[in-house]
Amino acid sequence: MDDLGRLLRLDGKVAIVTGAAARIGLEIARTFAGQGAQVLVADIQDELGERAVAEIRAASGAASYVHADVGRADDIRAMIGAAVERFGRVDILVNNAHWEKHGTVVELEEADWDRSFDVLLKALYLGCKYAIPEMRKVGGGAIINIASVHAYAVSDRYVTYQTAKAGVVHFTRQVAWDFGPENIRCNCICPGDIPVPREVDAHADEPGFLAERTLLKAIKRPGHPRDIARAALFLVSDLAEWITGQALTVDGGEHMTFPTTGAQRTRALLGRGPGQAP
Amino acid sequence: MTVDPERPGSPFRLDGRVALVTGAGSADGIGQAIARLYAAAGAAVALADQDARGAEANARAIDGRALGVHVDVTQPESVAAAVALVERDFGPVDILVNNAGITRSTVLWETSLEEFDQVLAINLRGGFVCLQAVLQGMMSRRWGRVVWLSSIAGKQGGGVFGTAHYAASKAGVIGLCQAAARQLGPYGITSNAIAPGLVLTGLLPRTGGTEMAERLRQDVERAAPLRRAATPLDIAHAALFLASDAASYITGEILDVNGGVYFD
Repeated sequence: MDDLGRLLRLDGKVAIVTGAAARIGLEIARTFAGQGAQVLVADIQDELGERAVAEIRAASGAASYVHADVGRADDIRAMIGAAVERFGRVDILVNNAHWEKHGTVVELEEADWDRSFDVLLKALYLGCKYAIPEMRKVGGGAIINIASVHAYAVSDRYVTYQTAKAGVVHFTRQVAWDFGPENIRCNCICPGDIPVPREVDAHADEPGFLAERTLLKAIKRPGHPRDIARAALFLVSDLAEWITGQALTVDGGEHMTFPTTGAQRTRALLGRGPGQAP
Repeated sequence: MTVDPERPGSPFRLDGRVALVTGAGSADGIGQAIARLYAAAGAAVALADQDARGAEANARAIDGRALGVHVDVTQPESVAAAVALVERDFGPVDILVNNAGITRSTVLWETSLEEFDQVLAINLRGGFVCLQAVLQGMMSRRWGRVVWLSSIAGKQGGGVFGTAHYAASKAGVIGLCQAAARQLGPYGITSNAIAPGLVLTGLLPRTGGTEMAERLRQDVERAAPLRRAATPLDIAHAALFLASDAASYITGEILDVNGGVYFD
């Protein structure tokens, strides 16, 4: 029992989580802090980010906020620098920040394509480029990239997100291969639909809401950010010290039906307006 | 906090659960490592094996609630009897680990139909038989975990050792695992598989000789990004995660635990 508890602890480790002001990133930051890590919360939503830090500190965790637009190389370099300056080292990097624009290749402007890929893919390259030398100094590290079940799927007018997420899966393998000998592991998580818990709570009494939200899933409950956070904890912990280069799908079993029925679902979601990632 | 700081690792624990692990009779195998870790995480564990004495010895070595039982996974009556014994002592089975398996390195053109049938009967059909024996209970209680042992060989048409029939059986396990995930998810049951690469157990030298086992180990140490071969404990760690509440939203997943030698 003690051994198990110890395997999951992150005491003395420093974790950077991008896009940590809300949703999945926030839950990962909370979970890691709860296991003893010092967490650098990075985001562009400063007020929410500071609130996340205050919440973690109120629960006796250690956290600090840094403004970082991961679409900008200077911000990423400064983010890694901030972790070293404030906490002295970097052990864990979670690349979670997100921005993408819906549209077909004909509809999309070049600037939207570039911005999507800057945040969804180039940010991972830059984050690893500057974090890995710091991980080397402490004898190893763990990187988690948040990909998506969309890495393996196609659906309407979603070319940036799906192409970039497929790239994330393969980027993960390559980094794992290159840096495994230096005890730096790199894995990604492919979440399915993870609604905002607040939204689920607000609609929980409505007949049909849960049925619609879980229609394609083998497990008949909506996903929750903690499902992803727990998978992330497993993957960075010593429980997963033999796992690298892998993509762990956390989606209630939706991927098994996604290619056929998922497209319909995505269409409905996209109908609600741009900027809303399933 | 998502993870209760008062109880380290709490969503990863198995307190109050009853687990049945097949193929848990050898002293240095994956099955006994899983059983040992599950017991450490708070579960009552039944170690089932054709080698009843080995299973009992492994159970005795566990500091916790553990029971060794005889089982022949090719025989539904034997599986039913083992499950009845576990239920009598511990209560209904919450977690089934389909780990029992054999491997053979016979090339395709020398593989007899008997040998093919034997490998499939244990590695693939055996898991189906065991699942059926505990399925109704899990469905009525609306909670269950099924963990299958597939293999890198099931994804690559063979592994470092296992050949066609072994590969076919382990690929079949993936199909069974995902079918179970689709059909049992609505009943609160998850079904996931682990696909290990080379694991240092006694199975290799026993089946292929000491020299071959040593050569394989060296090959993996050179090729794998993490520069070592897996131990049974590496696989047990993944099996613990998949059986725990921490993985309650993961189903139909084939988790590759191989040190980075293979991705799909």
